[in-house]
Amino acid sequence: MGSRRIESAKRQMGRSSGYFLAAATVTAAYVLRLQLESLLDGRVRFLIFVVPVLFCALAAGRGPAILAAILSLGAGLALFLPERLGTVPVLVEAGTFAIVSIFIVWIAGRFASEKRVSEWHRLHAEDEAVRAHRTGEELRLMLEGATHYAIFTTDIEGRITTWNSAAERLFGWSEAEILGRDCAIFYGQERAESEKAAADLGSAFDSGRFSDEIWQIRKDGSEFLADVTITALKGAEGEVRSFGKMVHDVTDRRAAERALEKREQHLQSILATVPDAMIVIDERGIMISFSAAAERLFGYAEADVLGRNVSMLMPNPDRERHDAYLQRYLDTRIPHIIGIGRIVTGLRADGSTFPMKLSVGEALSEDQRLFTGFVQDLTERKDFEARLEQLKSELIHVSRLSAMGTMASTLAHELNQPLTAIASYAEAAGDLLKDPDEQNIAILREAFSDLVAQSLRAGAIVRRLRDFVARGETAKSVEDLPALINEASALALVGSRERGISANFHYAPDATPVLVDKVQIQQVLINLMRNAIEAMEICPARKLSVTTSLIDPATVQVSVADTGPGISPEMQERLFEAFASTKSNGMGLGLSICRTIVEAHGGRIRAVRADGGGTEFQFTLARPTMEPG
Amino acid sequence: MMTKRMVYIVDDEEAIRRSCTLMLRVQGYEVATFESGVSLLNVLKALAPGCILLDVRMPEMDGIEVQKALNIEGSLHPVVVMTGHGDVGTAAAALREGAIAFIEKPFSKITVNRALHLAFLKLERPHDYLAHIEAAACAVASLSEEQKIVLAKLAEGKSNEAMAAEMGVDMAAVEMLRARLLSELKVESITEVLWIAFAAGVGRQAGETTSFSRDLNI
Repeated sequence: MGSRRIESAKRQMGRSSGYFLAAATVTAAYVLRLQLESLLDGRVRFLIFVVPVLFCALAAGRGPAILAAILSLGAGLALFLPERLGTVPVLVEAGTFAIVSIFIVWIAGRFASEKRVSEWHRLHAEDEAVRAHRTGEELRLMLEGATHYAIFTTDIEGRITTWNSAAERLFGWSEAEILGRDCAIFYGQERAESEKAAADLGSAFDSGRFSDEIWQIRKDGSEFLADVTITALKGAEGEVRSFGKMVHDVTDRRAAERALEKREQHLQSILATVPDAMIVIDERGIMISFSAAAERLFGYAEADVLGRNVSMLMPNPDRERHDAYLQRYLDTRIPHIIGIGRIVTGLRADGSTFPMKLSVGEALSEDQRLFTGFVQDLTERKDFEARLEQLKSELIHVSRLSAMGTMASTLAHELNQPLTAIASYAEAAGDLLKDPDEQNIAILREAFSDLVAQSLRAGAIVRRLRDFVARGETAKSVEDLPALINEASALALVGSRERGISANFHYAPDATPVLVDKVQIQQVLINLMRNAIEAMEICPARKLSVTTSLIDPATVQVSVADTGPGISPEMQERLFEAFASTKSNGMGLGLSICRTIVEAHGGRIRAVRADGGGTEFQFTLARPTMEPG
Repeated sequence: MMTKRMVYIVDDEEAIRRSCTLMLRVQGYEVATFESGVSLLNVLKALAPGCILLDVRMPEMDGIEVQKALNIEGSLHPVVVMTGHGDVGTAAAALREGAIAFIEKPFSKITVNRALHLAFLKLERPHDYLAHIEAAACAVASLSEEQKIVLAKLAEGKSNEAMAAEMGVDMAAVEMLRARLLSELKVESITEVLWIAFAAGVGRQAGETTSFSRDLNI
């Protein structure tokens, strides 16, 4: 009992105090009954115990009441000890007490639960009232605190029924002044204006809600641009009872928006005048800005490219790989182009490509990573550089050609000397043979040995000329063959278009590079191309073809073909000999020089009949030997 | 024949001197050689009558200068000038200075003989030479206008192509005009046409007297 009490006390003071009360009251009743024994003399021993049971039932509930009843039963029986315990009157009295106690406990239980229910209802009602009050208060505070939103209600006719302090501030009307007035007053005095007010209410009535930006008028007559929202407030049946209006002054916001718009336009105008094209993409490569210069450069309108992948502006292989480039950067954060800038190739809308310098910057805004690319068109700069390069090579060729001209003329004169001697000896020898006596034979012998010496001297002079042209020692380097041919053709084809000549170039991709003295091979090419152009002068078909091909792993063949009249069989034999010319003003040195140059490069040159008539010159060049590994 | 005809070869190159000497001696000429104009002029007074075969391209003193010096010295030795191929300008200058003829290196025996024939004609029978030149001048005068133009252009050293272009005819026409010119003037080569042309005063400024007529009038 003692331990239970402690436990109970620990767990729940209220409940344990109920049981304590039961024990106390029963003890008190027992003691009182003992005192009264002298008066009652063994009668009505249980009656007094009804009091603690009833008391416990009322005060502490069902549990303590049951305890009190059991203790009371025990106490009552104890009073009869020991003489009359088993007698019938005692048992009847104890049974009656038990029944009464049970009844009391049951009544007390019912009473207690009734009481709890009514208590709950009472508390709940109180709660509701408090909450409703609080909500109402909060709503009022909110309405009052909505300093920038004028909120008021009107009746179905539009007469104002409530008015918050923001409305007072915004419109300048006090609550007292405005209540009951028509809200059309904010629209203006004009008939059209009050009709507009009525129409707006009508819209809200029909569709439940109406919202628009409307110029509203303050009490002092000043105007402001307002964002007006009218809500139809409906009753339980769905009928419109009144309107709620919310008015917000957007004049400042509008001004700010316009300022922002203006700044945007200003920015746009700056971007439009920046000479470099600017393209902004997000981290998926989708274009989100495309400047006017970019439009001009790429030939796309901004509207056509926004939302599309920036890879559309690149030729392959970048086109296919750009997404991977981006992903690699996002994964590794190792920049390959960002902040570095590179020269890449751009693809225009018309399919043409051009060199460009691309500089990319990265920007992180709130939740977005943006890449801004500045594109500088290098076409003109490249053109300029190419032109410069061309002029330089022209100069080399021209100075070389003029030096050759001077040299040729000097050597031609020099060549006349041994030739004169040879002719004279031959003439003399012829005469001497008419009378071949001892003396004349001796003279003849001498003459012939001089003759041989002079012939050899003539040969030496020609060799000197050729050596001069071919320069003997060659400065070989690894050169890109198509580039070399393009440069040479730029010089050789000067004025050819006016002559109705079309030039075609076919470069085998594997037929490059070559190991050559660039200037010398270009001289060969210029010579062959000029010859071809001259040969076609009198022909209706004027097509010049320059073709490269790989004929074995170490050898590249270049062919220059024309659609001219072709070469006569007699000439074919002597084609590459010095001073053999079919041209009226030719020295007959061109092809012989070509052969000297090609052979000095370890190649061969020959002329064949071209497929469609005409002549095709073919010469071979060596590819640089690949280093092992 | 009387004594051997004397030819003086002036050339800076030994091979030319040796070969020409042999060729001319075999044909019966007497030959003396000089390696420069200066060495010729040094002994000029002592030289027997004869013709001078003079190279134009020489160091120190070129052929034209030697010709001028000969004129100044009052030399009566007719001069034949040896020029390089296509060097009509130099040849014309030499003819203006009084040379009888020019031959282009290398030359054949026939060419050099024609030139020397003319030179010895002037040396030995000046009146016949004058008659020959006058006949040539008549022949030139009787040429058609077209042929005269061709002759003038040849004297300027124009090539066939240049002539064709300037006259607005094709190459074949020029070739034909040249061939007709040879037959009209009764000569064998264009070089000889030019000898006549210069002798007849073609391509010369008006008022200039021909050098040979001046020589003959002495």
